[in-house]
Amino acid sequence: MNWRFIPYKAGEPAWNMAVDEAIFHFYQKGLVPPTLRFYGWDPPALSLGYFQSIDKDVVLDTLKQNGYGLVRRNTGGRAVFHDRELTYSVVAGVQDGLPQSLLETYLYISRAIVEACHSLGVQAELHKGFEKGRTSGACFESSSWYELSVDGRKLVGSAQLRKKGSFLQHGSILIDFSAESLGAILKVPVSLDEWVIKINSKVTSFKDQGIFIKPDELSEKIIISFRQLYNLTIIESTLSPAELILARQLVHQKYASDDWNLRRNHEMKLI
Amino acid sequence: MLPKDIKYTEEHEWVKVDGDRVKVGITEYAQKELGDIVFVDLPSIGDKITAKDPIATIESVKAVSEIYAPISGEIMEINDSLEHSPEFVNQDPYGKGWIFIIEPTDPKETNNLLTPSAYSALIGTK
Repeated sequence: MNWRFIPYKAGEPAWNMAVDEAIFHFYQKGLVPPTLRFYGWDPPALSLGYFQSIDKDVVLDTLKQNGYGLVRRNTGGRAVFHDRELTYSVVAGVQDGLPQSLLETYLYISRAIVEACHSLGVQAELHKGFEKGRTSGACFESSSWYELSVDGRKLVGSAQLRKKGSFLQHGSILIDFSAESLGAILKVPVSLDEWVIKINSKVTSFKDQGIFIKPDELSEKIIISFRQLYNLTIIESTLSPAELILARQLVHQKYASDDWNLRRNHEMKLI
Repeated sequence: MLPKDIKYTEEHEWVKVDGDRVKVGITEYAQKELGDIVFVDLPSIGDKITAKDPIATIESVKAVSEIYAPISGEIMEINDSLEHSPEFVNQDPYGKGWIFIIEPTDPKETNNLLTPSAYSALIGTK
């Protein structure tokens, strides 16, 4: 089975999400191979889960004052602040031999990332089970099945969009982490100091583990792990002209629009 | 143990025939895989639906997934309580976690759905 990877590049928030949707669109049509993509965020940005409530979870004023971007993902999950991290997306499906089961697809991807972490000296492990409890809208506040953690502290957060047997998975791998920065842009139910202490006990990063690595270097390690673990041929590639055209349309029509990014749940049906 | 009086789809929905209507939800297996369900975007009453088309969306802490029409027909009822209590799908997927009720265009279409044993085989359980 041949895969392709789109190498690391930092992009604007709307562009990042639009490209992933374009890849997923053409993958479902059988026009592009399974794809592994890596990217960063310029400016740093908060991404929200598909149905996440902006009113309930986000301090928009602080977000804007800091010059951060905001975009709503089409995948599930909770808010992720993309700053000193590596974002990946995987588009694949049962037609290319991946499992049908949601949790098994998480496991498939996480195993490769675990291997990459181990090769860098970070003893990441797969989280088992769903963690209950929520005090804010932060993805990294709790772990769920097959997400990656080190000594119980979350290192990688991820979420999927699934259609028939295909899926798009977004993931954020923390190279560094600032609970203060995240807490400043999320509504938290306790004092910021209290929340920061709690989150720091539940989140880790490569830097926190004593490993200093650049996002593009980390992405190369992950590609190597996918190749070795699953005997995959993964070829460096670029987006097709059709993917680029669709991505540009999606930026304007969806991911750069307030209608999409600022909507509330009860407005869903208007979109 | 799967309820035996209902049928299933490959997309992990259950379908229960009740007179001339059919009630639809997602299976125990599906809700367990999804984890905590945080939102269900319901179809509208009166929607005309075609088998296998996506007609609703369900979001859990792990994924946004589509719910497909198991058969063709018209949406007659939706479970409004899920708008405020999506966790009903986790707590009682075959009961108060039902999602919508369809009046089928052709009731015989349910014959094409999976039997409990076929669905058990699909998910690898007995």
